[in-house]
Amino acid sequence: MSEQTAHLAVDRLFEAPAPHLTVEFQGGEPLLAFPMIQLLTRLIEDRAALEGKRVTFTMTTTLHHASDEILGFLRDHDFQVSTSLDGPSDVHDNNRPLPGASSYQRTRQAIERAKAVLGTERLSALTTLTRRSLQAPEPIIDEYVRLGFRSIFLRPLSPFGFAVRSARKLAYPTEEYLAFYERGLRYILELNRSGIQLEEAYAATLLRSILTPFPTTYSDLRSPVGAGFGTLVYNYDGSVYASDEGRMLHEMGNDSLRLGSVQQSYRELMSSDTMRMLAATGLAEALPGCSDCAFVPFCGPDPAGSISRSGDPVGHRANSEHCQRHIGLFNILFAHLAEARPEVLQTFTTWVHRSAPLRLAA
Amino acid sequence: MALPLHTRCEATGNLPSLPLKVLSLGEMLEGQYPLDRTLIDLRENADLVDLTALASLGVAAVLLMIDPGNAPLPSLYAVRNPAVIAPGDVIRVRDNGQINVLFRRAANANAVFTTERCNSRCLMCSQPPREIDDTWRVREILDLLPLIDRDLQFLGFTGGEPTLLGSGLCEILSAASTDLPSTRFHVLTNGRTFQDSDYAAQFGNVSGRVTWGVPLYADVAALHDYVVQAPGAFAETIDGIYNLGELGHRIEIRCVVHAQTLPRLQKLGEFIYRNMPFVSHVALMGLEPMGFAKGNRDLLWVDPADYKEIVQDTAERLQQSGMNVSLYNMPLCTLDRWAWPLARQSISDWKNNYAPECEACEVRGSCAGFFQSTDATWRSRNLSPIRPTEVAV
Ligand code: SF4
Ligand code: SF4
Repeated sequence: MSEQTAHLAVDRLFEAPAPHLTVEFQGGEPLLAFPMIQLLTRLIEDRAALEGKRVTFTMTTTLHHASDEILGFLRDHDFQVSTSLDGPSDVHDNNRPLPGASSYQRTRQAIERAKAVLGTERLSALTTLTRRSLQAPEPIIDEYVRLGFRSIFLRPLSPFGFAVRSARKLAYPTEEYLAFYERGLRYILELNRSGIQLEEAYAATLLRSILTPFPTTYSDLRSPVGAGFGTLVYNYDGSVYASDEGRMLHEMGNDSLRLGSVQQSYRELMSSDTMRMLAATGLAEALPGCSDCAFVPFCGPDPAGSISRSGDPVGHRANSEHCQRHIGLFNILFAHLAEARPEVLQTFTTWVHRSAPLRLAA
Repeated sequence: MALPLHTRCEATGNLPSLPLKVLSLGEMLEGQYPLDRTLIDLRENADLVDLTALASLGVAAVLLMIDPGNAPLPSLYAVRNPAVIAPGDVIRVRDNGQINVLFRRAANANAVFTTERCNSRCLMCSQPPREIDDTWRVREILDLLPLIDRDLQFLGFTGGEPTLLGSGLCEILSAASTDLPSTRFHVLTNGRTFQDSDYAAQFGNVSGRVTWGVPLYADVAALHDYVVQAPGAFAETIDGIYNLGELGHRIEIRCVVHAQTLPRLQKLGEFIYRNMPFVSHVALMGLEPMGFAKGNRDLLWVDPADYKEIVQDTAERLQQSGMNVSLYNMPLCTLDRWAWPLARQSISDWKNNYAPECEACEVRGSCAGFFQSTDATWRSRNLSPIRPTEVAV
């Protein structure tokens, strides 16, 4: 990203009406452009102070390039840092081969260093679940517990980008993912029952929609659609996309989720044809299939997925991975809610409200 | 403990019929209150003071131990229960010598009684309404407010149903927020009048200063309407809560726990969280056996020992959801220890009492205890003093 693009992106950011902004840096590997991150952070902090807005910084990084200086910077500017951890060494190294080295070892060391500087609260990890990972959830979950993480996100491989190219090697049918998820969730609930506190982030997100009156902040399940209405992506080359998937679609030669460029005003970007298209097709309650679905109050539309699969943003639920996956997840969670085992309900409510019930807290 | 709010006295001279601020001589000299509205308490130092001088200063009246005979200004004396009045208080003296304390400086809570009228007839009303015209109270309250201690933290308004004063209530709260610039106000209302959004809008200037305490007895209309004995009340109250909420008012939901409300209490808790998570406080309250509650005992009575589980579960869920919850009027010995942090000493001291068993209790100092009207037949079978060894847990 050039300095000029950076300045323009910050201008656009603060033209948005939201009083509280979350700025996420992602790549590639964002730490390879650390001076740019420093610049952006400074620009955004100064501007936020001026305009009286609240900003939260987050970053997704392998941490491999995180020196103590970088970690100190992330701590001082209150970053929420998310790194990649796919499981124990055999799984992780299989997913992320490094010629002549173990990426698992490097990640482990990086996590230890990061924890020492950032503390456990600011550090979380994301799993990439490949076909290989699906063999067994337990070792992956155990690895998270062993490294002291309080949360694990068992989400399937994104059907975009890198994943598409290596799809044959890594991808898997949704049913296989769901079977894996169900088994993994059961295992996590068992752990919680035995006193090990670990949250499954996907369940926590969906349950927050189901068990509270508040709308989700999770961009993939918002209705009206999160893309564009809740998130914007400023690319290093100055393009503006409605979501990360929009950027990946672009790499696949499809510009349907591109809003324009940072040189245009926020107003112009938000009234682009792309945003009109998203507004017209981004309400799950009005989409064929979704409008009659029992789960629609907790679900959201998936225009990016529909575009990539069928070329149009409405798509067809019958062959939507997003739909199959979420119907499956809702079935699993509602089965637990219907079964209503007290210790499971207690774990769920603890995840949802991020606090333990009083009788246990005392 | 429970010091009543009224007593009698003898009076001479022409007393003003307005509320009077009782002051010591020293505080009178600080000049915070208009002299023609002050009653100087000379019960301990009458011989040091020249009454003629006080009269010429324009002091309204003096409070003495005995009949001064030919006093140069109106005097009260021979107060039957002398402890009822103290410097700082505001009182009203009727022609027949009856004294009512309208504000008590030393009280743990002060409430202004706004009207005896009400548009509901709750089964457990502790203050049965009367259909009389008592709009004269508005004037009296407006006279009272400037005499209340300006550093008062908290002032309640009760009834009856205060909103039946119409714009009178508006007038009262506006005056209160001017006269008492740092006080927080609490108004007990059934909220029904606020179904009229124009009426709710009249209170815009006191938003943020007032908490509206609104009772809600069930998550379904039929049951709530039955408890308040007023068809349609549920819908009106819910509309009222939303109208107030939309205007940014602070709202507290109150539910009295008894045999009618208990069966749906957990559902009510969920209803509140699902539909009005913006309310700032939820209070689950033990019964005050006064007024209608006494006559309706058969409809209402549940031993707290038998409602504990449901009450605690409801409170715990609300609290875990991030809501502010309190248990009012519930003795600690009738609750599980983990729920004690939710219990409040909620009973105004003038009607607060403890049972004989409480003498030996280690936590009496932090326990709500009982209403004065809570005789043995209204106390839990679980009432038993907490011993020191148990507290150390
Ligand atoms: S589960 Fe499927 S049909 Fe139901 S709302 Fe979600 S995407 Fe639509
Ligand atoms: S014995 Fe009395 S003071 Fe002690 S907890 Fe019970 S009611 Fe409260």
